[in-house]
Amino acid sequence: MRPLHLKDTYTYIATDKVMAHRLHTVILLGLLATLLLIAMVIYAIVHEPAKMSESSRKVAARSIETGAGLYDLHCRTCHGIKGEGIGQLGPALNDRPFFTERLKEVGWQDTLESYIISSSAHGRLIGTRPKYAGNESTAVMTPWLEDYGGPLRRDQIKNIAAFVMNWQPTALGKVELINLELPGVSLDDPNTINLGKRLFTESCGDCHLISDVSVPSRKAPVLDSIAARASSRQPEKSPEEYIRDSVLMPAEYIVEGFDPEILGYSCGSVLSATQLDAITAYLLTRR
Amino acid sequence: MSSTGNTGKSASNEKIAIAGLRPSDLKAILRGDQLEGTPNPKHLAHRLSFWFHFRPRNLPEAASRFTHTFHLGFLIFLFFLIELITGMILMVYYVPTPDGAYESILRLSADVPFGELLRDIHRLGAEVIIILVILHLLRTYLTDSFKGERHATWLVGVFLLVFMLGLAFTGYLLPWDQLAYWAVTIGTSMAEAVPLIGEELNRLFRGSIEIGADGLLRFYVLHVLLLPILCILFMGIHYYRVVRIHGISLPVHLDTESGQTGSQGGNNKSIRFLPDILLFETFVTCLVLLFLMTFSYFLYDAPLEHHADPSHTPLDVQAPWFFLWLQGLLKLGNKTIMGVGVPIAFFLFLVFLPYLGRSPRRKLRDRPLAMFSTGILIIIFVTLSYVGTHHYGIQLPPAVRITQDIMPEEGEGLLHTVPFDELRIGIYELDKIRSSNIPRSLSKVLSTLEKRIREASTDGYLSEAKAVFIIEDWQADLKRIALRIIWTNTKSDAPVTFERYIHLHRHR
Repeated sequence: MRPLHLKDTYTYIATDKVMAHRLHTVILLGLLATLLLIAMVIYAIVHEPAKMSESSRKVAARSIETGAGLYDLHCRTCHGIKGEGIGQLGPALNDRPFFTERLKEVGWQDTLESYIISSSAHGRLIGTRPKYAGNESTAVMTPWLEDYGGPLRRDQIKNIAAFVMNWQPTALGKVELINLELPGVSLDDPNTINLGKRLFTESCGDCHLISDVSVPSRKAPVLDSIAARASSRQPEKSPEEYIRDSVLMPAEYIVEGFDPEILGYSCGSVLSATQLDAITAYLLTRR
Repeated sequence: MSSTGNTGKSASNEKIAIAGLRPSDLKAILRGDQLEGTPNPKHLAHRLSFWFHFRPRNLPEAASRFTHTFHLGFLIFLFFLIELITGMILMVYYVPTPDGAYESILRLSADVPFGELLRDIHRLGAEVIIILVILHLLRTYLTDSFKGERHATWLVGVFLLVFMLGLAFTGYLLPWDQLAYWAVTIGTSMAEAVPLIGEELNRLFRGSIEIGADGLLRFYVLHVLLLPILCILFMGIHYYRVVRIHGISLPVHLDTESGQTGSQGGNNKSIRFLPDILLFETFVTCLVLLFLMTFSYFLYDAPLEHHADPSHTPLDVQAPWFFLWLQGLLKLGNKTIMGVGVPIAFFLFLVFLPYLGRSPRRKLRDRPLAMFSTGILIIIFVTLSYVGTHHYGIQLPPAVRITQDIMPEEGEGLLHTVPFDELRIGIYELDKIRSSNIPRSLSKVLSTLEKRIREASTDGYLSEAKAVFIIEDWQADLKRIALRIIWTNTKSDAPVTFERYIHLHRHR
């Protein structure tokens, strides 16, 4: 067998120039491409661990984003818009005790994340909160998984758990958030007063009477000149404070002659801060 | 050639290395030597080797010229092979259930080494195949290589086109994200419009009224089993006919006057499979692998939106680009006529194309009708595809449209171009912004928003419109961005508000 010499290829070119030339170029370029491909594969192998952890981070980040949206739709009415909890309705999910004490409190053996997933999916059998301040019923977490009649799929519950777990760094004081400076609401602003008037008609007009706004009812006091009366009702409180407190806690200051029994309904819990401001602003105009 | 004579004799006792060839033959072949002897060792390879027996020993030189066929058939086969291999590996990790599918894709990118790369290659390869198949069809038609004895090959090719589109369509659903779910819902809704058996056909595809566990499994089985088997079978027939029955067509200007278009035609300059074609194909394979690897590693990410949600249709639902023409058709008219009638008519048109014109003239300039109709068809398809996009015919309320362009429900909008740290916390009322210390990327979003609001305001869509943009620190590494657009309803004079908020994570 004769070894292959480079010279042979040249002889070959001389006889069949076109084809040999083509062959030559193809082999050279092919080798180059193969070398580049090998380099590329080595590059990929070297960078794969980093790329995978970046992908994991991305997957976790998107899970938190999705969870944030779902939390806002399904959880915030009981646990607060930023997980601060609402009264006795739902516990805070963004504070230190939730991340340090909660598992011991309920005797959960697994991780906190699995506790959140399980509680959201199956609900809690017994409420660990004291009695709900309003109507004597106990607030217990209901099942949220679709298998048990809830609205959520399992992946959605996992996303919510990822979002709730992300409160850990702030709860433990490792990360400080920047507060958004909200512009103060002026109670004299006609827009605020108009909004308050509309909200009053929708939310309060069922029980309270204001002559030109709602129909008479005997359930609750007439509020025609509430701004004037508010200053004398509780000497230590300003009219504004008195009205705010009465909206939030209707049972706090019962006017004589009215039945405290009918106050099962917590007026303030369904209002946002802006709405409370607006209603207060409107009532302060009723002199 | 000096070396050829002794190859046959002196090495007669050598063992066979591969494909019925002795090492010395192999070297001689790679060197480009003319082998001699009976039987010629080169021909022996074609007779003894399973793989080489598929391939022709020689091809007319003219037929293998790059600018004649662009090697599109080979490229399609190569990409199909890559799809088979990557697909097979992806199958190991994929779970064909609504609960598991999406998560398995996430796991693929986060936990499986090279999982994301494999998925990118598989997806990119699929899109390239669609392009190649269309080009292959156009090349065959424009060089008039589909008539006469080639009519059956053409027919098999038309079926292959349908199978390839079927593979693309069924594969599209498998990630089980919003994009896939709704695009496929639109696609299968066409089956419903088939007269008489529509409902049953729809049920057959979807497994129930809506696409669910059964539908996903059906699409999966179609994608990984039935359609690939059909493709392999039909590709075999297609290739067999080209190689054994009529050969690759010759370029028109070399065509013999007898009308014979194949390798049996009058041109006698030929090119050897060993080594010329084999080496060239190996070379192309290297290039393709390099392209796929580099492109999908650095430039291409297979899309993945939110988990499929049958109860929420996202805005701007759009079919993949190769089915946009179909969505365009659906938009234009009756579902039965446009969604079923026209595609079937087009399919039949392709099937019967070889029998429509029987003129022996192959030169494109002698076939004005063919040239003209191809041009028109391309224009029609491009136009229909445009009609299929959400830019045509779907009028969202102006405030929703503006919001959707800046921060869409699915995918990325202008807002996503702002780096996380440049999303500075604050309330940005568009008419009161002093842009002195706002990061440039954010101020670009704000100025676009302002421009859009101003346009909508002057056009009268949103009268006295104002917009507020609120960026809040929500959690560690998570910000909430709200966009609120307020305008006046001209009829009732009451203020109207539209608001959307999204959460953005630093590592998204």
